[in-house]
Amino acid sequence: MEKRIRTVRNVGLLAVLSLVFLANTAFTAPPGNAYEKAKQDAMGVCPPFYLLDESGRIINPVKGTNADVPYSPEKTCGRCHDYKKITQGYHFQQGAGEKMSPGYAETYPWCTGPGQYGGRW
Amino acid sequence: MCGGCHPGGGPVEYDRDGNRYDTFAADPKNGILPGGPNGLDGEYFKAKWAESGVLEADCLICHLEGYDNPKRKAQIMALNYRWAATVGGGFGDVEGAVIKGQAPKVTYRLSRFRKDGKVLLPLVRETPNENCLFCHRESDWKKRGQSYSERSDVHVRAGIRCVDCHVAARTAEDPRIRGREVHQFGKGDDPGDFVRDDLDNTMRRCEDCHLKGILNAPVIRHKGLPPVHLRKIACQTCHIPWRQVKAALVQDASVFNTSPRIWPPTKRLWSFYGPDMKPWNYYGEAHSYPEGLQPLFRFRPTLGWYKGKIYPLNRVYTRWVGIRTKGRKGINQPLMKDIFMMWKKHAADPDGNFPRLKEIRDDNRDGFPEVNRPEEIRALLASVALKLKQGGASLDGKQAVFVDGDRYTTDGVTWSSMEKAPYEYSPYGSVFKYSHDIGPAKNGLGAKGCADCHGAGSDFFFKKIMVRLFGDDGRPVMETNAAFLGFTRRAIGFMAFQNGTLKSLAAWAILIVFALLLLHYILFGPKRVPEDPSEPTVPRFSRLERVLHYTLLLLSGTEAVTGLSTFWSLPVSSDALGRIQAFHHVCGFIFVANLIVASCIWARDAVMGGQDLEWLKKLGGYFGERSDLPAGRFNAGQKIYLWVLFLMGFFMGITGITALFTGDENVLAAVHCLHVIGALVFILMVLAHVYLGLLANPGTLRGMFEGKVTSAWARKHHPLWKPKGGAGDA
Repeated sequence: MEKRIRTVRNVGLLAVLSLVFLANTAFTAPPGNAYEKAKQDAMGVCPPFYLLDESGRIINPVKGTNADVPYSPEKTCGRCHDYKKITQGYHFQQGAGEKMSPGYAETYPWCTGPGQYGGRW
Repeated sequence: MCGGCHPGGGPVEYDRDGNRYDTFAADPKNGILPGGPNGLDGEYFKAKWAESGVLEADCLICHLEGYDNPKRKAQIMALNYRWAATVGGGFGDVEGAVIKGQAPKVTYRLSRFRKDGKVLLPLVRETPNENCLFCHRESDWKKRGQSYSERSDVHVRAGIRCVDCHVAARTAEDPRIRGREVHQFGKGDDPGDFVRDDLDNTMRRCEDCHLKGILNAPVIRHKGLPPVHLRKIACQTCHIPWRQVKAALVQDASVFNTSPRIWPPTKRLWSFYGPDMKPWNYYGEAHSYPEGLQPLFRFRPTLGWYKGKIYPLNRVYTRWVGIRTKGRKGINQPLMKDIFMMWKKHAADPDGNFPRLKEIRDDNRDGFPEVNRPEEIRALLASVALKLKQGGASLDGKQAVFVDGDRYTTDGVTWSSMEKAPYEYSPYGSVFKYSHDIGPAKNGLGAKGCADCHGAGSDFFFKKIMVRLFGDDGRPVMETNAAFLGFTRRAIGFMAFQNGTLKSLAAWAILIVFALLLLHYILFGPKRVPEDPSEPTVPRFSRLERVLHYTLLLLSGTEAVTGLSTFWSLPVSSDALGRIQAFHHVCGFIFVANLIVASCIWARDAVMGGQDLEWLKKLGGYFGERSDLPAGRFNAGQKIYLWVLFLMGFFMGITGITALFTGDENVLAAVHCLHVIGALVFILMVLAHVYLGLLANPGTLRGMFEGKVTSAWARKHHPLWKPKGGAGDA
């Protein structure tokens, strides 16, 4: 009889623990980066933020902290946004790193890429 | 300079090897000398990266409405790259300029910061138009002739934003550019641009909005427009019938431009001619007119083929001095600074420095000098060669050549041509498709009917476009747009005839034939044969013949109705017309197959004989002759009808199939017109045939329905016919 009670107790305990684990999994935010992205989506627009300089230090002219250096978009916006991914856009690259087709390279011997750096008239 | 439009990041932040310019230049072990030649490496030549910093990608250029781009540009011109974003974003002001050897100092504006030192900016996810136009307004004017203004573009007027069509990130549908924070904007397919061609046509197309109604766009049906137009002609072609501002047709780098308000001075190396082939001081206008207020200039764009469709294009014609190396295909360019210095020195002392440049004159009296005579070309080439040699360059195995469009010369007399794409003036001249500044639909080509394009002398085909800026007489060499499109004069004539004369002629012909048949019926009435119920019948047509006959009649009617629907532009959607046309094609094939069988069956009976002459002399008795005329199974009229039917049927089949499968637009124009003419003859014949069988000769229809006619009818109409198995045999 005692053995049976113990078995029931153990099974019950296991069931409660499983439920706690499942609930925890269900209500815990996705880990790390995914959560940050979800948070950004939820905000919709950028929240108040500090300007950062090229070294990543906060610029706070109100308190006079680090107020004599320009801000760095890379460090400031890059805190939340994927700067590297964004700057892969062709507006930023303008053909840098792109290969020229053989015919193009032959016709425009002074060009190293298809960007508008003095290729065609 | 580049940074004036470049948003930062990429090649204005990192060199080809992935090093950030400023940190790389600041590292003594890399041996970069500020402002030094640095091994003539273009990325470090005379640069002061350590002092100027780099241009990081400035997110606010696109995402902050009210961004101060002119101030950013000023910082860039001062080589204060590191400070440009701070000033452009309106966070502070900067004193000092790297270009003057000063250390810039920033003073932040406290009004832009909250009490806690943070900033809260009205940032927008989708870029406002004005921010796009920081860069695209001027750069897209010179050669693309884009205005992007409410006065010239229905979409701008309707409040459509650039990013509504040039979608990006999560707004995009194309998987090539769709994705969180992916900053590849949907792009079109410009023949003049080669950057990321793999992303061509990722933007929203006209059809996306105007067929699906996206953005509440009016859904366009193109009622009555034969679908071939939508297959062969781009939307822009009809909906940009006129351009509103100039675009450079010619870029001439063979003279020195002394017109006012051109800066920086090196831009004097370039002179432009507008669409009217007259000199155009583009830079002067760009520097004089407030942004967005380009002077109006109305002209028809050149229409040309690009990837199987006709587009409105600006093809840039170029004239310049190049350096040709023996055995190499491409023609190189001398350094701009050498050519610039040549002209500057000549201007300072015309007799002492490069005196031969004095030979270049304004021969055509348009107020601008031009290099077109052989002597002028030789003078320019000799001066350039002299300048290069003075600079220590070797011209061994090389020669200076004058490039004029798609040809080059060393002496102004003998020209060699260069390979180019059919839509180009030259392999070195850009070609741009006009896609903006769309006019209202009611102004589009075709809104007033086919004659907008197919009428005699229409601008679509007959407007003159430039072949060369200077012919032997110093005047432009011109051709018609039709010639550039590859249409022959005859093909244009066929199209004009078909869409003009033939359209009204067909209607009148059908009406007149109807009237004549009615008149005939009134004047002469039917040729009745007294019906006697006891009269035996004879078999006239077999079951196969009857089925064949009615199939042909049905198909003829179907072909006529469907064909005339497209020919007369039935006011239904172009899509519906396309389906009607497809049905017409299918029925056409069946018709030809039936016709082949019919010709095998009836050809023997349709052979002309001696008795047919008398029948013909008396016009078949249809005009009052009451005596019986000699005729076998078929009378002479029916025989002629059959032969014409066979011939015209096959003619229609051949022209129809050719029109369907030919890829040659000239052949298409010709066979299509012939097909319509054939169809008209065919329709008139069938009308007369139906009248004769139905009304003029009562009893005939019975032969076709029941397969039998009375002996009396047979004796009356076909006295020489000996029907098999009939009463006659008996």
